[in-house]
Amino acid sequence: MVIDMENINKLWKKVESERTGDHYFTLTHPTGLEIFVYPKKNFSTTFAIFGTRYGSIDNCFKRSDELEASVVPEGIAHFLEHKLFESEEGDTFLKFAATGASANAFTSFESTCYLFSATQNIYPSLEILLDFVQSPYFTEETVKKEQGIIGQEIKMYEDDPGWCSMFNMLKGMYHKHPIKNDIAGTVESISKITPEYLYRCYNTFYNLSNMALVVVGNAECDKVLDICDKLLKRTEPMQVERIYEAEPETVVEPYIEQKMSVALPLFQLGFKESVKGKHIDEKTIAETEIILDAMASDASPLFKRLYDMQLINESSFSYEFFEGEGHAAVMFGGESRDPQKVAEEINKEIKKLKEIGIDKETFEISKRSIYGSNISGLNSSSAIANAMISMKFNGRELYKYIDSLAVITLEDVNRRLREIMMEDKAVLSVILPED
Amino acid sequence: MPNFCDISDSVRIINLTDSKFKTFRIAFKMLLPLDKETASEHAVLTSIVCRLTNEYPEYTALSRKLASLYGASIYSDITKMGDNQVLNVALSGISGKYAFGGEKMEQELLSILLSAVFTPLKDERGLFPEESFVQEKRQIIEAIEADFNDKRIYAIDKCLKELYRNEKAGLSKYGTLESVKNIDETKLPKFWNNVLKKAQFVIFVSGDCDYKYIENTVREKFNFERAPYKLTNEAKKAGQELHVVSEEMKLAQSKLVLGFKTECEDINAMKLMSVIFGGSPTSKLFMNVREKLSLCYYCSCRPALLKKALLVESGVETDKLEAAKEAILKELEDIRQGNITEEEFTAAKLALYNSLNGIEDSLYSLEIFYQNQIFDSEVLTPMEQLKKIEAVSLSDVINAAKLTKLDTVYTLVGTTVNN
Repeated sequence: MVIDMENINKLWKKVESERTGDHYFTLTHPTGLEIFVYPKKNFSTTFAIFGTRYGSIDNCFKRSDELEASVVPEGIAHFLEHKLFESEEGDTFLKFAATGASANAFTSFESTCYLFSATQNIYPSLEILLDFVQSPYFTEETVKKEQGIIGQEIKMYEDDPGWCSMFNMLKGMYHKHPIKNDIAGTVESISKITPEYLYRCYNTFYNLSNMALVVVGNAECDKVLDICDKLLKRTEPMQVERIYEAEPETVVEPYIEQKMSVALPLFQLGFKESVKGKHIDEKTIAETEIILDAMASDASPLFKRLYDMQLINESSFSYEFFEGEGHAAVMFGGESRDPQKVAEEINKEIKKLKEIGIDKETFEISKRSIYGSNISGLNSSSAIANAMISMKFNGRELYKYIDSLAVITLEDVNRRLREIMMEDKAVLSVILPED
Repeated sequence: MPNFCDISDSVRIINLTDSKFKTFRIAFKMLLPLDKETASEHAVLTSIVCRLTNEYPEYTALSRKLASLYGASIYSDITKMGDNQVLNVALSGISGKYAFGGEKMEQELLSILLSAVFTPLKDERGLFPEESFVQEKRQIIEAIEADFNDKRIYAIDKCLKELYRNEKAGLSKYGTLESVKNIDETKLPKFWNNVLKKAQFVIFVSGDCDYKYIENTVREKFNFERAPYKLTNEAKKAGQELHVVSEEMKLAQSKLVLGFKTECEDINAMKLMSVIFGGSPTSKLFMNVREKLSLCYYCSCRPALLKKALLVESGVETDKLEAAKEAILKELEDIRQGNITEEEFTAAKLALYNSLNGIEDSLYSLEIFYQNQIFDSEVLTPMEQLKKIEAVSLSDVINAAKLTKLDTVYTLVGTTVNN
């Protein structure tokens, strides 16, 4: 097959990564939709995601065509995700079944994404994807039925100790920010959802200028563009302002515990960070990841100490930098017989590290380790597609992030270390076995 | 077709290398009969040997070495294949192409792995270091406890234990909590020698790396006398009477797991039947039991082909347990009666093609795909399997369902009262 590169270049912008040898094409469609096509040579699977920057935290917003802001019940983004799979002609899964593609969807705090992976019939599957996400259909009856199904889903999470430990921590951390609320909402909040609410939020957030399409694998740019030209529905461009109440810098409660049917206690320890501006940039994120790797990876003295004290195990101990619009936190989690002691040791380590700083050798090792995990991520079409769309919605770019690792200095990292993980902003959430 | 290199009749290296990947993987699979006298020792040993090596006798030193090799990893785990226990020791790392220090990644990493497996570190007592023993024993105990924390895993494990109640496969991959606690540290070196001498080794090399170097280096390690086990695998028929087990727990959502046994010999018909029954979002269980009847949040099935078994799992409201069970059984009865639309039949085939076509895009899927054929007389590529699925007829599927019989009903009854 011969791809007419010259022609592609007129419409598409090619973004290359010298370091990884990969590249992708991007284009803003006249409807406002941003499209990304990422070729993976010799791979059979194509993975496509069509998503909107609309997640569980977007419950208070003001549209540019309205004067007043509105507040809607929690859980609508997730409810919409379930409902869009149903069209007037029936279930969308049935349409995908006829192409053999495997379809799915997910809702996060900040986005809702619809996706498929296919090794055949890629273009017909892409047509189905674009069509169903742009064809809302809700009635009183179907909304009522979905309330039952989502109610079950919410209950399933109530039994999940890892999930409860995480949300208890967020509730202990945030006074106002909606990040503390369950993505699916509550049985009570979803009972208030009506077809009118669904259409209103759909029309607000499923505006093509608020959305993106990412296709990774075996697709050709012009064929993707042809399908977009045919199926994308023009909507009036509209800006949506997301409104969050001012969030105090302090935490709500430093310690929360809950008893559940578990054999071994679980914990989540988080350090709240005040976020100035909308999102944290690529370099600051990479700096934070190096700090966490240096401080808590299995090659670190902290890990060894916690391990020798039999306070953590390799399969569950984890750490991450969790951030988004208006919120950011460093988190540690896992199973432990003594979560309080783990928290104490982590705090001690932070204090020590802030005094002496991360050393040069550890810094270089952590940089390499994070670089390696980024390279590994480029093996998988689904990992690339997920990273591309979430970075797009957060105003970041994949290669810029990978490249930023190379320019970060030890001084940058030690400066950043002193800004984060403040002991008075810590929240420890613990799940204990029933008596 | 991947290239097989048989070093002996019980040591096989499978070459799955492909330069389209940016990483590589080398996995040693050591297969032994699952036995309550050895299962816990094997489980603990597999992690002990990967923890420290003669070259890196300290935990942090080994971890730092791996981190400096661009976050490479060496890890171990235990799985079951039918009536056998599989001890997995694997490494993965980025391809040397992306290493800016010009490191020979496969050489560096393979030497660590081989040292761990063939000449594991011992202390002055001639035993495995006490610290490794204590820590790895604790971690296996905590892994068993963690399986209890996740009620979906817990319910499946419980049902499988009941379904295989008179078979070797009924034993957990780790043995029992009791047998882990009672391991005699002084006997472990003998157990590991036994693994090296008697296990069947299948070694997978995949991704972007120098296969020839790996094959030659591995081959040199098998220069000792071996007396491998003859591995067996038995699949018993369903019991005459229905086996019903139930327990209560303080949970918001109940779990229902149904264990079936089949006498169907045609594994491709079984695969297709299970996709139609409950293996996709357009399957009968998803469309009817979950979507139309709203009886559960999840409801799906999967076959355990080696054991000629099939498992249906679902999360259900407590007062709907009986209705959900009846609805699930009705769907199977529908298949037996031939109530399968052309769309359902075609969709199931397409779904299987899609997953078979995608296997070569993931190192892990590729490895598992060929691992699952260890006991088969004929090894097929994904494309060859696809052709076999293509040939399955509607009557083969009906027949597979007719030969599949409910054996065990396990319910985990949630007792939390919801307002």
